[in-house]
Formats: sequence, C-alpha cells, structure tokens
Amino acid sequence: MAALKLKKKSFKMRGLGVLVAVIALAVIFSIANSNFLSPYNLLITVRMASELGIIAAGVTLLMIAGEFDLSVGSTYALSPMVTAILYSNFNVPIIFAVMVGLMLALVLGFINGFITTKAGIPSFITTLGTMLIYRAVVLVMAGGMPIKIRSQALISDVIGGTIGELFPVAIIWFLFFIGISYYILEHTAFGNKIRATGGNKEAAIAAGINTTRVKIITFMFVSFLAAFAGLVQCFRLGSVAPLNGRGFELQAIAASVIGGTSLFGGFGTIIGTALGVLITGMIKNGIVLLGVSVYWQNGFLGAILIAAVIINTFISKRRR
Amino acid sequence: MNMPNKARVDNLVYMEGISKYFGKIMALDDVYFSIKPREIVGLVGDNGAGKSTLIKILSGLYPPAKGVIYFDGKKINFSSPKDAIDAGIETTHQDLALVDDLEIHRNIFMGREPKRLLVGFIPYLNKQKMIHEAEKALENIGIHVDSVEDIVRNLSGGEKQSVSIGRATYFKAKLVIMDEPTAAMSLKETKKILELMVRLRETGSAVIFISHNIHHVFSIADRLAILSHGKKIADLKISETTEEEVSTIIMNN
Repeated sequence: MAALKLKKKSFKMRGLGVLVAVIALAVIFSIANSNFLSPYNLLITVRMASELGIIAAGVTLLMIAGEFDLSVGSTYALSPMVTAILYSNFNVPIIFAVMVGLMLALVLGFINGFITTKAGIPSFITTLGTMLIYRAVVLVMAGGMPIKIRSQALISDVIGGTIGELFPVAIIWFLFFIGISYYILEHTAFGNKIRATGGNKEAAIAAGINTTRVKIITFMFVSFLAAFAGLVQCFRLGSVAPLNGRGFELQAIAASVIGGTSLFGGFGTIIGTALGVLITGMIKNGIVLLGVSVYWQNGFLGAILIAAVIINTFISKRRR
Repeated sequence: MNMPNKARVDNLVYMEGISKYFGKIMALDDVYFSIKPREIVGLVGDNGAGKSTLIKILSGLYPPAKGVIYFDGKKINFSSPKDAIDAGIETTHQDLALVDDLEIHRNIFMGREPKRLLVGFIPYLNKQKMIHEAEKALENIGIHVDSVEDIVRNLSGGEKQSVSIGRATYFKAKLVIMDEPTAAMSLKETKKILELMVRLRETGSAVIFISHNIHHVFSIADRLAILSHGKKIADLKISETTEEEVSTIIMNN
C-alpha cells in the first residue's frame, strides 16, 4: 500500500517540478530587479507568453497523441497574412477575411495529418517539410515586406485589443485556449482517445479507436490555434511580418516538455505546459529587466529545458 | 464443408478456407474453424502455428488473404477492430493491448467512453460512471485492485491481464476471444479466470481461448482445434479424446 502511494506521488511530482521552477525563477528575478513582481510587469510577462501559450496548448495535445508539428510557426504567419492581404488589398470585409484565414489553417493542419497518417512517415518530417513550404508561401505572398491591417472593427479589438488601457485581451485568449485544451484532454471521450493513441497506438486500434482520425483532427486543432495566435499578434500590432513565428515551433515543444509532456507520446498536462509557457515569458521579461543581452533569451530557455528533462527523467526512473 | 449452408447457420462463427500470408510466409493455410453459440473452444498448437493470426483475423485486425468468414449466419468483412467489436466480438491479446500511461477505468472504456451532453451540446466524459463500472467489471471476474484510478503501468503482470480480461468480459459479447488468458497469473487467479470462462458460457457467450496448457483446456472446453504450421491438423470434442492424445499430436507435428 505504501509502495503504491509512493508511485502515485511520483506520477504527480512530474508536474510539481515545473511549479518549483516557476517559483525559483520568480524569486531569482525579483532579487535581481525588484520591479519583476510588480503587477504591471507581471501583466507584461504573461502577455509575452500568451501567444506562444495558445500554440503550446495545441502542441501539447498533439504530442500526447504521439506526433509533432514543426509548421506551427509558419501557420502563425501564413493565416494572418492571408487575412491581412484579403482585407487590405482586396477589401474583403474583415470578418470574412478572418474566417478565411482560420479555415485555411484547418486545411494546413489537415494536410499535415493526412500526409503523416496516409503516407506513414514521421510527423517530424512531414511538418519539417510543410514548415518550409508554408513559410515560402508567406514570403512570396508578402513580397518579403510586412502587410498592414488597419481595422477599427470590433473584431480587431476582440482578438487583439485591450480591456481598459492596460489588460491585453491576449491573456484572456491564452486562458481560454488553455481551458479548452484542458477540458478536451480531461473531460471528453476524444481526449481519452488522444491519450490512448499516443500511449499505445496498437492497443488503441485493437480497442476500436480510429487513430488516423484522432491524429488528423488534432493536427487541425493545432494549426487552428497557431493561426489564432497569429491573429492576436496581427490585430495587436496592426501588421503581419512574413518572418513572424520563426522558432515558435521549438519554443512550444520546449515549453511542453519543461511542463512534463513526454516526447514519446501518451503523457502530458495542459497545466504543466501553461507553467512551461509562463517560464518562457518570465525569461524573456526577466532578461530585459536584468539588462542582459536579449540574445541570451533562447540560451536561458535551452538550459532550463535540459535541466527540466533531466529532473523529469530522474523522477520517472525513481518510480520503478 | 459438404453442407456449407448448414455450417453457416448452426455456427456462431464459421471460418471457411482461411489463408493468410506475411510476405512469403504462409501463416494460415486453408483453415476451417467454427464455434457454436455457448461453446468453449480451445485453440492449441506449438509456437508459430498460426493461432494468434487466426484470432487476429476474427477480431478485425487484418483481413484474410483468402477465405470467407460468417458470423451469426451472415458473411462478414471486418475493415477494423471496431467492426468486430460492434458485431459483438471482444478480444484480449497476448500483448495485453493496454495503455500503460492510462488509468484502469480509462483503459477499460477506451474506444467506447460513456458520455453525456452538457446543456444539450457540450460533450462530457462520464468519469464517475467509468470508475463505478470498471470496479464492477473487475469484481465480476473476482479480481481486486487497490484503485481503478491507478495507471496500468503500476500493476503486476497478473493484474494487467485481469484488466484486459475485465474489459473483454464486461461488454456482454456474443463471442469472447482470449489469447493466453492465464499466462502471467498465479494459481488462484488462473482458477478464477477458468471459472469466468464457464460463467461466460452460462450467460450466453461463446469463448475461444488460446492456451499452451492442455490441462486447462480439458478442464473447461467443449472442443479443441490443433493448429500446426498454419494448418488445422485436428478438431476434436473433449469428450472423445485425452490429454495424452492431444500432446502426442502436437509433438509429432
């Protein structure tokens, strides 16, 4: 009985690790700069994490299903680019332009899922390819220049505005998609199928689950979230730059893994990912407050990533 | 084989001339196999005889290269395990087919999760029902685990097998197929599983089970079929043969 309780505890400890990291970073940064924990700065920290967070929620679900999507950064730029061009250059009403951008994302996700499952090639490869292809399309469409999107319409504020003067709506969208992803994973039959598909695909198939369908739908979900995150930035800044989102795919995976998601599928938590994303926000913000070169941001993230995986692996091994 | 229509109608399952190749290897060669409702049939033979292949075809994992299968009198063409499950066939596999990272109750209801609709349209997984029914499913087979909310990875081999069997026997199937159901089990657990198979027959299911233990087969089965190198070499009523005879047949082939 005691042995069983210890095993159960270790299972949950994987999630605790990232919480400890968040607290540790908060302490370190606030010692270095007392402004770190001010409400205004906390808001900025979370906002810096929000767009990545929306993407990471989807990436986590996909990783639990046993697949990767390296094309999210390109979709993050491509969908809003299409929206911006339709609106600014072709005078398509903004609502339709947004809908087309989001539906395009569903198609891009479908392509990823379809190729991976039907051709039977690793999703790492499929999405490495589509990452390059979708990015090329963005660059060609934009002629290498940012496209402006000047809209006073309500939808612009709903997606990318602020409440009052200071509270970015981006944070609400982050919490919204985290909430939806958590709900799907924990409280729906589909979420159970995702975990089964990623945990043991053969077992899932033998139990009657259509794993191809599960994967394709999840790919479409990730792309949709990536596109939405891109729209959040697009409406926040009023423009879409063709190189937006470069590197997001790796940061999203890093945040998920720091939060405890397994690279091999079958295990992951949305809360863990949210904390992992928070860590990326804290690093970006903290580095600036410390006056350290901005180029160290990703370096710091890389160090934490390695440390996190070593710790998580150590905990898993102790469980046996 | 002389009266195919009678064979189709009398039997729950009638497999006619089944062949299966894996590349150049002939896993099954023109096998005829049948089972009546409420019958327990043992499938025996040495390793590599084709036993697992035969039941994998019946459970919908892959189609036969040649041959026809009739289930409940109708010709069937399973394109996936879901088709077999929907038709009323439940299977446990030798490799257990459980997801280690998932809890017991989620494993049992994998693929047919009980759900509700909140405010008419929001899908909602009925976890309370899953937990409760999972506990019932395991109680029914007389196996006890500390908590159905524990993940499968933490269970012993025998407990994992019980979960797998609990799943297969919970859903009131017409046919329950078990591949080496007692392989990792203690003597006590084995006795419970053999009793379970008898109870399944009493409550209306037919049972096919693969076993290396001829003694177990003789203790509960009505018939047994012996496979060797992909062919069926004997199909005998238990009452008309002995354990020695069966062992001899297997050894000599």
